[in-house]
Amino acid sequence: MKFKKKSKVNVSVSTTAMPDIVFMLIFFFMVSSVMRTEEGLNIVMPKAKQIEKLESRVHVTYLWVSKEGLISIDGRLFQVKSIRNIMYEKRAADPELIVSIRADELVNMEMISKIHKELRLADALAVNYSTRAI
Amino acid sequence: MSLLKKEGIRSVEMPSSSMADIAFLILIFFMVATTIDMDKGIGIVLPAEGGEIEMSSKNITNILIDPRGTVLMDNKEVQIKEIKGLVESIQLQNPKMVFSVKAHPRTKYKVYIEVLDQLKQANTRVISIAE
Repeated sequence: MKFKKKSKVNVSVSTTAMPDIVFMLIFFFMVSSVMRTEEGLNIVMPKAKQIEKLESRVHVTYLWVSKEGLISIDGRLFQVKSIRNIMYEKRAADPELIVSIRADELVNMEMISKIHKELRLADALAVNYSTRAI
Repeated sequence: MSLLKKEGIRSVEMPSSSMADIAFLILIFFMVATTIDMDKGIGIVLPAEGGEIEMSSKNITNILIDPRGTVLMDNKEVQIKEIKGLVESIQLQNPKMVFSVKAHPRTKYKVYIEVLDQLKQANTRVISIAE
C-alpha cells in the first residue's frame, strides 16, 4: 500500500530546460552553417565517383563556367584573358589558394584548356573540378 | 471592481508554453535551409608554367579523348569503364607509369571528368594533362 502511495508522486521529467536546449541547438546551427549562396552561373556539374572533400572554404575560389562559355568569379563575369590577373592577385594574397572549377558538363575542353593555361600563368596550380556524387 | 482587478493579476504572465514549439520550428528551418560544406570534387595540381619535364616514352601511357567521347589508350579504343582495370594492371607492371590525358578541343568536359574519375579510382599517383 505504501508503495502505491509513493508512485503517486509526480514522476514526469522536468521539461523546463527544454527550450534552453533547443535554443542552444539553434545557435549552433546558425553559427556553424553557411547559407546557400547562389552567386554563380546556372550549370549542371558532371558526375564522378572518386571524389574528395575540399578541406576549407577559406582558401577556395570558385570559377564558374557555363555551357554558353561565360566565366564568373565572385559573382562577376570575366573574359578568359583576365583570369590570370585576378588569380594572380588572389594567389599573392593567399598562397594556399585552391581554384574550384565549376563547369557545366557540356563545356568544351578547349575552354577548360584555356583556363588551365591562365591558371598556370597565374601560378594558381591547385585545382579542384567540382562534381556531383553518383 | 474586484472582478477587473482579479483578471489583471491573472494575465500578467506571458504564456511561455509555446516557446519550445517556436524554438523547434526555427531549429527545423535552419537545419533544412543550411548546407554543411558540400564542396566535393576531383583535385589535381597543374604543372607550373615552363616546368615541363622530359620523360621516357615507355613510362607514359597516353589517353586520348576524341570529340565523340571515344577513348584511345595507347592507340587502342577502350570503353571508359574499362580504364580503371587497365590502369591498375599497367601500374602493377610499371609503378612509375605516368598517365597523360589529352582531350580534343571539342571534347565535352563530362567525358574528361569521367576519364579522370576512372584514373583516380585506380589510385593513380601521377596524372598529366597534356594541352
